[in-house]
Amino acid sequence: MEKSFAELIKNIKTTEELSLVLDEITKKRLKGKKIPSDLEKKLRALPKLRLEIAFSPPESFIKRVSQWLEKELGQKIILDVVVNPKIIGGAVIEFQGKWRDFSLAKEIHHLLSDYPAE
Amino acid sequence: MANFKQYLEQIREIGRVMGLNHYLAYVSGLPTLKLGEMVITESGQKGLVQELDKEVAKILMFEVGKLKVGEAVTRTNTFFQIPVSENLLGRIINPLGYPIDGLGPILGEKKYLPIQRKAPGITERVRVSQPLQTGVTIVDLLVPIGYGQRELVIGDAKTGKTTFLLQTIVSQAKEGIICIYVGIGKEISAIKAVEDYLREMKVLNKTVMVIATSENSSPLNYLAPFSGITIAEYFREEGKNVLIIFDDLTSHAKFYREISLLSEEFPGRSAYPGDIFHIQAALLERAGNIKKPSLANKEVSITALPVAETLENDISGFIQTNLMAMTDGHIFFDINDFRKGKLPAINAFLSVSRVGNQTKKPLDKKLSGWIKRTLVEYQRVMEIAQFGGELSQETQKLLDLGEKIEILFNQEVKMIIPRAIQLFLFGLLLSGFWEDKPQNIMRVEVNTILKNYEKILPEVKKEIEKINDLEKLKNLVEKVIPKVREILYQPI
Repeated sequence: MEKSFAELIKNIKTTEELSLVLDEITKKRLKGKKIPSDLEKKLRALPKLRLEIAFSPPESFIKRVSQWLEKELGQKIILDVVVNPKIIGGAVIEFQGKWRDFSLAKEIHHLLSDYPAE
Repeated sequence: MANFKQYLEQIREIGRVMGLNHYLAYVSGLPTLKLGEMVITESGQKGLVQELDKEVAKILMFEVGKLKVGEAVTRTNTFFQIPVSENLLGRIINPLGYPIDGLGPILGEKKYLPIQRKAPGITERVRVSQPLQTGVTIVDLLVPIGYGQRELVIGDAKTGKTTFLLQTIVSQAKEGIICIYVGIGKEISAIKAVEDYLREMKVLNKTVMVIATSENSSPLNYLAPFSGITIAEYFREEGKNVLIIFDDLTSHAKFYREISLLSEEFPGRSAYPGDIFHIQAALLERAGNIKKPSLANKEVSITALPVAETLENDISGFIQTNLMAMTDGHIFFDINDFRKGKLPAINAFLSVSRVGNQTKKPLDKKLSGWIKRTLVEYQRVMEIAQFGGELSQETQKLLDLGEKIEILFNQEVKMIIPRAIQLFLFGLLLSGFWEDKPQNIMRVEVNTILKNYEKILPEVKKEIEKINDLEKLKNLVEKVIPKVREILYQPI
C-alpha cells in the first residue's frame, strides 16, 4: 500500500492527478496515518504548465510531454491540459506568466490577414 | 485602445486572478509587471497595479464584483492614461475619461496622457502676479487669489463652499478661463445641481466636469483628482489658463485610506497610510504659474482650489492641516457665521492668502486695509456692546459702519459682482452715501444697484482703472451718484 502511494506521487503528471493525490493524503491523515507534514506543501508548490490543445490527449501523449518537460527543465512539471477545438491544431502554452501561441488557428489568421479584403 | 487578445499577443505575458477582496485582485504570473501599470482582464476590465510582491501583485480594479478567480489578466505596458482633447469642454466624464452625461462619445482627435506626471520644476515656475476675480466681494477684497495659486476652501458641510466655488467658476469662465470641476464621492443629486447651476449661468461649455460619485468604486474616486489635473495640464500646455476645483480632498483621503487598509498597508495617524501627505502634495504641486518657452515665455497657470470638509469648525484635523500645509492659504467657511445668516459664511479673520495680496492693485490694497481696520475695531466694540452699557455716539457709528460693511459682503448665490462694482459700492459707503440711512433701506438699495449695475459698469470700469487711492475713489463716486439715484428711484 505504502509503496503504491509513493509510486502514485512519482507518477503525477496533470492537475487532475495532483488533486487526486492531495485528496488521498487528506484521507490518510484522517485515518491517522503518518505522512510527512511538508509533502502537501511541496506538491502544491510544483510548477504548473497550462497546455491548450485541440484534441483530447491519450495517456501516452501526456506521459511523453511530461517526461520531455522533466528532462528539459530538470524538475517535475504539472500539466494543466485544456482542450479547446477552436485553436484547430498546435498548442497554446502558458508557463510562469509567459504565454506563447503556437496554434494553427493563429497561423491561419495571419495567412488570411495577409490577403487584401475583396 | 486594444483589447485583451491584442495585448496578450503583443506582450505574451499572462497572469491569473488568485484571489479577490472587493476591488482588490491578487494576480500571479506576469513576470515583468510594473508598479502603476494598467492591466486588462479577459472580460475587458481594467485595473491598476497597486503593489508588487514576489509571487502576487495587488491590482486595483475599477469595477467591483465582475471579476472571477482564475480569470486571465495581461499587461498593457502603459501607465494609466486618459484621453484628452478640446472636445472635453462642456462634458461630464468619469475619471477614466468616458462621458457619463448621456450625450454620446467624445469625438475628434484625442491625446492620451498618463495621469501620474511630474510637477513642473522650479526653473519653470514664475511668481503669481495676476489677480483672479472670484466675483465674491469678501474674497476678492480680503482674501484675494492670484492665477496659479493653490487656495484651500475649508469649512463644515453645507456652509456654502460649493456655492462659492461655482460662483468662481462662473466669474472665471466668463473671462475665458478653462474651468475643471472634480467631484469626489458626491451624491449624484449634488452633481446634478452643479451641472444645472453651470448650465443656467451659461458656462457649462467652458467647463469640464470629472466626476466620481459615492456609487462608484473607491479606486475611481481615488483617481478622479489625478484625471482632473491631467486635463488641466493638457489645457495649460495649449497655452490656456485653467482653474481646477477638487471637491473635496478629505473624501479623497478617506477613499485612499480605505484602499490602503484593504491592501494591508500599515495604518498611521487616524488610520491613514503614511504616504497620504505625499499623494495629495504631489497632486497639488502640479498646479501653479509657469512660463512656457514654446509660447514665447508666456505665463500660463493652473489655479487649484481644493476643498476640505471640517466637523464643527475643527480645522486642526489631520487631513485638514496637511492640506493647509500644501496650499498657499485657505478660505474658512465658519458654521457660526452661517448660522447667523451671513452668506457667504466666510470668516475673513481666520482666512489666509499667502500670495494673493501681491497681485492686488494699490486701490484694492488701500481699501482692504481700511476694511480690515474697521472690522477689527467693529469686532472689539461688538464685544463691549454685548455688556449692554450706554454706548457713545462714536461707538454706535462704528457699530453701524461694521454692520453696513457686512451688508456689502452678503451676496446672493447667483450674484457675480465684477471688481469695479465691488470697489464702487465700498466707495459709496466711504463717501457717506448710506450714512444716515437705516440698514434695511441700505440692503434694498444695494440689491437694486446690484441688479442694475450694467447701467453704470462701463463708466465705472473705465475710471476705476486709473484710480489708486481712496480719495480719488470717493471723487469718482460723487460723479456717478446722480446715475445711482436714477437707478434707485426709477419709476416701477
